Amino acid sequence: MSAIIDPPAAGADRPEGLGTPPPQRRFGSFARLWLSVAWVLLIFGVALLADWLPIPPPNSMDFAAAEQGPSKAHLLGADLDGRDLLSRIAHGARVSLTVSLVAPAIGLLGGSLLGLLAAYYAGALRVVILAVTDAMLAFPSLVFALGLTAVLGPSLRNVTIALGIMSIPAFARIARANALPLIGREFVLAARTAGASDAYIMLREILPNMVMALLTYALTMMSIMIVAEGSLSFLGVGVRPPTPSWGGMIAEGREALERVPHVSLIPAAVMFLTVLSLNLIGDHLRQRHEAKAGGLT
Amino acid sequence: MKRFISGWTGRWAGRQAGGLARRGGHVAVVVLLLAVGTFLMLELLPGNLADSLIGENSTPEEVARIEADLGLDRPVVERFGLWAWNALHGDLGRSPLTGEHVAHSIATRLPVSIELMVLAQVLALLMALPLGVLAGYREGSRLDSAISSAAFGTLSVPHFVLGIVLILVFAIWLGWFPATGFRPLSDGLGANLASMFLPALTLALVEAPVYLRLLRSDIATTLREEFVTVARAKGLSDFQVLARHALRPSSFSLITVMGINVGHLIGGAVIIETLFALPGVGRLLIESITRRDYLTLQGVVLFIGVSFVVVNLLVDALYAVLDPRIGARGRR
Amino acid sequence: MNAEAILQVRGLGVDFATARGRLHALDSVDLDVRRGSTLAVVGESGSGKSVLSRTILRLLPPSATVAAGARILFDGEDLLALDRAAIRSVRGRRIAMVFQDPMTALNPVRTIGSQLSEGLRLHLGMKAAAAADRAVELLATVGIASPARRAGQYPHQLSGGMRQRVVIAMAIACEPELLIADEPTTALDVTVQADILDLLARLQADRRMTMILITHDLGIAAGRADEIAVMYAGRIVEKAPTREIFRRSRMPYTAALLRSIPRLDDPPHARLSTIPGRPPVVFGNAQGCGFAPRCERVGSACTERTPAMAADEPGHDYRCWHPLEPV
Repeated sequence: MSAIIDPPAAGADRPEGLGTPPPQRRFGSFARLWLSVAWVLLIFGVALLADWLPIPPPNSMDFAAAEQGPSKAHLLGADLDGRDLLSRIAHGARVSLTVSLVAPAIGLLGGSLLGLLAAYYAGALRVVILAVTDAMLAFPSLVFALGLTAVLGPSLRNVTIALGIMSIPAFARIARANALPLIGREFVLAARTAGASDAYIMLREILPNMVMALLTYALTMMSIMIVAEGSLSFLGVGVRPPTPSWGGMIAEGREALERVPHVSLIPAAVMFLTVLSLNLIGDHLRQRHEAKAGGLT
Repeated sequence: MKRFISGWTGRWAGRQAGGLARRGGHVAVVVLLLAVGTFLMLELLPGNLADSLIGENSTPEEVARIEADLGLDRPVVERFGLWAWNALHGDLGRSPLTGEHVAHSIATRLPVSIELMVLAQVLALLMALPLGVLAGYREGSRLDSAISSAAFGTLSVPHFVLGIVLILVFAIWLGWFPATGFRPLSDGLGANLASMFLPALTLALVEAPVYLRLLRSDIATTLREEFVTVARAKGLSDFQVLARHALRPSSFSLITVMGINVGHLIGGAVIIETLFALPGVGRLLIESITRRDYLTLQGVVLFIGVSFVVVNLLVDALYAVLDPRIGARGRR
Repeated sequence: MNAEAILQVRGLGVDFATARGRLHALDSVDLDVRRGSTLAVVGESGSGKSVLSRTILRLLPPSATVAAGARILFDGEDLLALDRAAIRSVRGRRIAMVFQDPMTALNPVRTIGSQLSEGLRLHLGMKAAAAADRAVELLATVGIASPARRAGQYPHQLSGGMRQRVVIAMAIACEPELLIADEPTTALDVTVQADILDLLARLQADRRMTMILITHDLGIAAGRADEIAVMYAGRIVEKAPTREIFRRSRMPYTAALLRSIPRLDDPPHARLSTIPGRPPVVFGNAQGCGFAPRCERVGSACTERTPAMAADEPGHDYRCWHPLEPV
């Protein structure tokens, strides 16, 4: 019985070049994805329920237990002043998650607006927006965030605002890059011919098509924000003590690294796992989104 | 923070490569905006600047005198003009707190930051180049998966965590390197390098995964090009093909990102320098913030911004040398 | 077995491992190429002709498997049995290849001269200066004006025809004995095609090279080849001297190909003769003649058993259960 089947598309005659063995199944990638989601949900849950969990308050000092490793009283151990690490991590999670949710949201809203405007309108408005975003991007982002927080004063609110503003140029670039090809398409032309206003076109026709790309980027931003907030707290210019934050906890444990590394390492591990999980989720979404977009861009 | 940059970098670079006059004007605008923005930072500070400089126990006369000294009683635009004019001549003012000329402060710290940057880039390339090329050459294999996963994992570690872990392992447990502190060259090359090794390695581990992924992706793409098969047909070994034909066309994204990193790092690596107690520009930045030495802060921020822009201009020029398709026609 | 044959292929089969299963690109290919002659391998896309040319130089990707008993004898030596260093010394030196698309066959970030010199320095051990001079000579040989200036230029600064000349120059640089030209003119303008083919013919005569010309265009094969091998679905279905193919083709596929060439003396609005259906890509075990689904002379044996190579005249082989009658 012949197994000859239909021919594939043209160009199948040409064999490939160096390397490249046949594509292999990605084992375990689903397991990684669901573990990441589980971890993120766990962190969220712990952050939300921090006050109701059966753990000591984050700032109560238990000098007897200072610097001890995990024990029955302190599930993850205690820091240099005897404060419960688990509790501080849970409350610190609030800080990290607030920043990682609100700051990208600010960037998303502000950046999308600016990017959309820069794509839609030519002329002075576009030039100004592009020049300003270029200038903002000319800074290492940490320096920018540092400068802003210095000016505004360290607090959770200011850190969030500073990081949010810092992310606006990047979102603006992405929004503009996604909006430009859409603006030339027929459905925009059709809407304009039908008499729709500019605002309507931008909001109802163009924006919905950009949403996926922007959201995917926002997810990437979330993990970047957690590290950024951690960096600021680590340097001492983030949220003020006694509010616990992961970066601050790592900084506090630094002086006793020799004696009791767990004081720094445990919050460090939590931060790492959270960032890793968000990155894995973001990566997965990005691959799915790119595969679907296909020939659009 | 470097990751999101590499995404749109290609487009940014492409746009920069068109038209020297346009670029020059663009740069001038950016620098101007930087200067204005930096200056305005000072203006936005709540409270009286003079107060924060001297403290609360000063008499109104002392405050008035400080204000007159610093010229704070003159209108904003005039002060900006004066500051900008001085800055163009290399005079960024004199810090009222330390008495040091800001430009001098930066100049003494700059060599440390530059040494850190150079060592870090070298280490990063030493790690990323062979692994990235290998992963691209064996794309889809288990080796590639292992390398890519390792890179992804390293990417996800925050820099200060990396630094702390390295300190713990190499300085505390193994005792091979000092945990903190800087030894200048005058103390001997060995001591200097020993004190710089861990900070440079930390920074290198932050950047190497990005370089690796870029190189891997570009090498894999280039190896699918016909001219690679042609090179093999000429009798070249796989290594020769990789080195002589695949590497150069695959290095553009890498060079772009390296250029951006170099530009950033001239301004010092704030976290690394703080963690390892290195007297670089980054430390100066954070110190001027915590000390509320806003004049110095202004100068340092301006310096960082301008050096970044300048370095990127140089990187653009480098493109024209490496890729013969740019330059003559101004586009790829 | 021809005593003058420089290349002898026996029992060559090549499979690729793909996501859809094992793809049979070549099956039971036997070939003899006489020293100094030109063999044209003619076939449509997917017939396996490019795979054949690349297999000779062992330029296949890792997903390819060559059939166990296959042999490719070049001047008596089995190329398939050589180790990697040995095959590298054959590539570019004794057997060279001209590639199809001059746009992509040259490295865009290296000068023409450096790409030409590469083979010279590798195989002939020339020093840089000597190789550079020789490169300029080669450019002149292939008909490029101002060769010294061109040697310092980059591929994007040359036209398509000039680039193909450079590719040819690269191929003949080390004076190979066998030149494989894989669709050398397909990517070029019609006006340039004849020039390139003339160039190849002249070089072949001057250097007494053997040439394998791979093409989908029977017209090209007609004027330039001593022998023609027609390929279909990975197999050689007919092989004969050129005149024989055109006058007395036996395999219906060959005849159909010949018919589909439009002729100058056809009446106006004459129908273009085409072959219904499309050439197959073969997965799994293929028994039976590959052309059976499209053949007008198909019979019961055709779908059940693969026709063996037969010859009723020396030098004219064909693979068909119901061959056309000799005229």
